[in-house]
Amino acid sequence: VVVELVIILTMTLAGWSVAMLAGLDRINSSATVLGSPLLGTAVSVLASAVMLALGFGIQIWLHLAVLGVLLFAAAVHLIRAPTPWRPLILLTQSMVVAGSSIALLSASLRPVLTHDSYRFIMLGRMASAGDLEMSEAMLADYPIGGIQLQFLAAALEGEFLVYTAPVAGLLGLIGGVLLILNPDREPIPRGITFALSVASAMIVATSYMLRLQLSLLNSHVMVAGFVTFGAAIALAPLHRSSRRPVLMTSALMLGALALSRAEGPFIVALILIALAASETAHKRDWVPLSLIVLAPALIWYLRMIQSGGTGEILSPARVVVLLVAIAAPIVLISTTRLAILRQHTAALSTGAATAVLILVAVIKPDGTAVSTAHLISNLSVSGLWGVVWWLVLPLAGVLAIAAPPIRNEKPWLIVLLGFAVLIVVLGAVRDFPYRLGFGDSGNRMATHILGLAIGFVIAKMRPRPDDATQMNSST
Amino acid sequence: LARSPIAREASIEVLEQIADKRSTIYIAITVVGLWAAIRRLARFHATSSAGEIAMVAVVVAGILGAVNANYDNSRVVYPTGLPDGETLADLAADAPNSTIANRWSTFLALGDLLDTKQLVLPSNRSLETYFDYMSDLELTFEDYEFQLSDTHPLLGGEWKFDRLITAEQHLVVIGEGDSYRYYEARGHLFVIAEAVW
Repeated sequence: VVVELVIILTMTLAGWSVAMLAGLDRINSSATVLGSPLLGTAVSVLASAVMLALGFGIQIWLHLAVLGVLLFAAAVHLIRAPTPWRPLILLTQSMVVAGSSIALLSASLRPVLTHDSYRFIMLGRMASAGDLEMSEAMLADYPIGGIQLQFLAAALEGEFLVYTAPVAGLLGLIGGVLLILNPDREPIPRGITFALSVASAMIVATSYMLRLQLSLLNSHVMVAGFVTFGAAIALAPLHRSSRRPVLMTSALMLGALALSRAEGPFIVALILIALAASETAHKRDWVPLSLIVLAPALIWYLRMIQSGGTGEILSPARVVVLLVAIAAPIVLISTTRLAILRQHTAALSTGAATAVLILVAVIKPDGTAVSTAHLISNLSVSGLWGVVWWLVLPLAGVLAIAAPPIRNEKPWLIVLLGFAVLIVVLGAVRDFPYRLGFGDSGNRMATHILGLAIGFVIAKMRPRPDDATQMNSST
Repeated sequence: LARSPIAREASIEVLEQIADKRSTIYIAITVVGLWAAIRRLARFHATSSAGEIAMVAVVVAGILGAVNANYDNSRVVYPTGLPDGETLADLAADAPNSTIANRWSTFLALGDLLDTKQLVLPSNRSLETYFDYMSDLELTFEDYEFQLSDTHPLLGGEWKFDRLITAEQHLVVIGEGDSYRYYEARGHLFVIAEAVW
């Protein structure tokens, strides 16, 4: 637990520094408090990936150097700030929330280690011994996100880390939802806040699948946090003042997402496509966004191709597909007029998703049918989700079809429906289709989109300004 | 797709799962959730906020989910009970998955037994990662004949450790010392002390 606390508090410190430099604290203090541990984790993923890909190995002193630079820059920034005590209060709050969450989980949930967990530990120990190289076949199955936490555990003489990634991910996920729903200090009604709190506690407590994720040594909750916070750039109705902080923090999360799961680059591509349809997208965002998201992923995956690393999931040919997926939306958006993108992206992406679904169903009919059937069964019963998807899917469906559109709704639909198509397609093209049971990879991937699905339901149910007017006039 | 026998089999399997008794409870929850959405759509929130409606839906979902939680928990493979200060070796030994319980647990236990002793491995074996990072042994590599006949005299020493790695394969330690050498025989892996060589 001591090692877990040291690492989560270090991550929080790094993430808080990034949030200060980006100015996230000025637009949403709750997202800053909750998102700092995950932001720090994202920086750690990116730094570890670049270190390893450039041949330095994952180094503790390089981690400390990155932290030192961030802290120095944040300190300089604070000295110039008119109210330097306020960010320090946020830092204290963030550390208390992260630390107490670690203490609570480690006292209440037994660690769960599956086969993948031991691979994470082994890779972390290899990195700590200075023996991990890009040619290691396991890196083609387990990207760096999550392994770097086991590296830190081994470097600090700990056996393994279980709770750091779920705590950082869960807090970041909630922070991401708050950032998307409330980017410019618009107050969230108390009813929504209360409902969200009650929902989180009760549904997590009653769903085995969600409870498991909080003590499972893997990267699913962390990835869910990256997806939710990363999607803020596409989904939040941004004003000019909030664009830069959201851009910076989202880009770091998306960059880390691309390096945390083998299918990560596809999810990043989906969010970038959604950004093209966003009302708040701006051409000026593209250069910094592309650099932060694309550069580490390019360095990592090109080195993987060069070293010939081949595992059960990735091979050099498949890595090329991943790189094309992530680069294509960036190139497309850079070279197309924004008005055209906003008008046609939703229709084009729907058409493309339908075409891909039909194509895989024709090429691999058995794989498509079996994977889809098992996915449906897992989400409804055999995946041990409890009530989660029975509540979220019908609500999201009814609200999407029949409720008045929310501002910037197209990107929401692109990400949510696109993710559903992505899970089905990945299951269809696998050598072994999805299977029944909570441990199936399609079932576990559903964790990654849950935060956004819940966020969508809340956004659709949230009273809008015209509702408030109507409410006032009726009283 | 409908003509595919595999798809039909999967569909039957799925329908059986969904016919499970939990579905009745979950359908009730869906109805409550949809009721909340429909209230929202009907703009009843003008007098009752959407947040409160959503809250009702999730509280009901939580309560009904809790009613069914024991049934779900009775079917889980990995329990999520209270922690009891388990080490990595304890967790591996208790793992419900036999691959984990055998392989990882055995290499971790070997590390406890040999405690950073030296192990000579043949250069062309791929087990290095397990011995190095799970057993934490000091490895050196040499080219030597590591395949022994089933009646080789080296196998006659005292077996200090004998645990499964897979369903058919054991890892066996013979003798004691500061340095060990790796061999294979009888389908098993042997780690034999220098004193026995």
